[in-house]
Amino acid sequence: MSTTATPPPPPQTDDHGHDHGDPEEHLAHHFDTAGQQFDSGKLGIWVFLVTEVLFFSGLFCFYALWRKNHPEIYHYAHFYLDTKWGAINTAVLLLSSLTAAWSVRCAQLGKQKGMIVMLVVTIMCAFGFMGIKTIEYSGKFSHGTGPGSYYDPHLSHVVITENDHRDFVGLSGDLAAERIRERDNLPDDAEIDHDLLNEVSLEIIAEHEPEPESVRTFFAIYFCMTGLHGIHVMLGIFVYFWILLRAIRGEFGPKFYGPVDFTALYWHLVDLIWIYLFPLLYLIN
Amino acid sequence: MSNAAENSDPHDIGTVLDEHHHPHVLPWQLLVGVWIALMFFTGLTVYQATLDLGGWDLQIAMLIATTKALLVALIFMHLRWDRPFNGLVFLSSLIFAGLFVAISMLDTGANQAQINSRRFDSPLGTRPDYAAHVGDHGHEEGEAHEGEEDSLGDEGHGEEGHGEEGHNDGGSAGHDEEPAGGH
Repeated sequence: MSTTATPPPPPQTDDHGHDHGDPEEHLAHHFDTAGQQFDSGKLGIWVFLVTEVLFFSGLFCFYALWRKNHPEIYHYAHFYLDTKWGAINTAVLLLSSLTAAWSVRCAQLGKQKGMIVMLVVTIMCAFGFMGIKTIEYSGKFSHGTGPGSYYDPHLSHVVITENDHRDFVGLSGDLAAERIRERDNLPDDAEIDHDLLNEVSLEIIAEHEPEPESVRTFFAIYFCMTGLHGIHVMLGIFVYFWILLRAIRGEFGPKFYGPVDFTALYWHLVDLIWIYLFPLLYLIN
Repeated sequence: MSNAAENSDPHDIGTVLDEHHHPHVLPWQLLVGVWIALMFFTGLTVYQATLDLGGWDLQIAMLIATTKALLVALIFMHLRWDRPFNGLVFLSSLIFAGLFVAISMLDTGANQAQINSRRFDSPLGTRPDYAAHVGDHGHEEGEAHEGEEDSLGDEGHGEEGHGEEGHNDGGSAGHDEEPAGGH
């Protein structure tokens, strides 16, 4: 819309009322105008986002190559991930993106209270996202499905598939418990001996198609991609706390809202990356 | 929304100004509308994963994801109203990321035979050694310290497996105090 060059510096006015978001108060000495400062900051954050995209693209490249070479690993291993948690996390992150965008709107309009509420909701969503990730990660490790050499699922937590890993049969432990109950005529809530469960689980594993080789690499990819993304979410929490603090101090308003805007741009990029990670990791068909 | 910026010097406000020289503020209805659309597409992509679309699943999932990404970039990130140069800068990253992935994938699979022929000793080519675990204790759920024990104990065995065949009971007997096979 506006492709014109930066406008010439405005005449200096002396009435420095220190109301909310006074641009002069925050004008760094190497900028002529607040507008120039804002534009420079905005270009700066976009350049940073460019480096972020390229940073993540290495992992996406690895994902693409490995998936092309070994699609069966993805078909099989994604059954270890819980679509429910992935979808909830997507919703949480999208909500935080909405409130981040809304906090910019509030800052532009000088709605101090609204801005603070939106920033707080954004931070809470970020914590919610990390909380769900913690549930997922600790589940992965307690069931033996860590990355690389930490991939060694417990006997009762092995995914059983059929039809070239395209159809999910069940978890070995669940199938084993079912078989033991049927065989021994046990009630549904009967305790099953641990060793027996493992033994029958192994039977179940042996009866079905073997899992593809190198499933551990899927978990390496999963933990690298979601882990790097999670680090970005945590950094976002720190930055948003700083922005919240400054907002409470009344630094932002219609004349000075750059930091709110730039942080929101970073936050949206984190959201953008998750928008791709979710179907690529959780929704493999 | 014009009242807020009414008394401001138009040259003092950064970046894109609308025709009345105010910062471009998005109506909240638009923001909420975009969010509802994003939630709808999330539901759609989850539903789509349950369908069999004859090999086009990945492409359709990526199409949905890209639609969502465009909504976020153009509206939430304000690119539709931002200076075109900022959009161009961002687009350049996507172009280079695309080149990176596409050129890397040109020879996908070309070296697979060689890789296979050389990886007989590599831990990457293996499956976990399930048979070695039959006598194991410490597979209770939800006990973190036992999970640790597992991964430590497995270093010596899971790593050396050459597939699911070729495991002997001796390996697991040495691994744990209980002989393989349990009771």
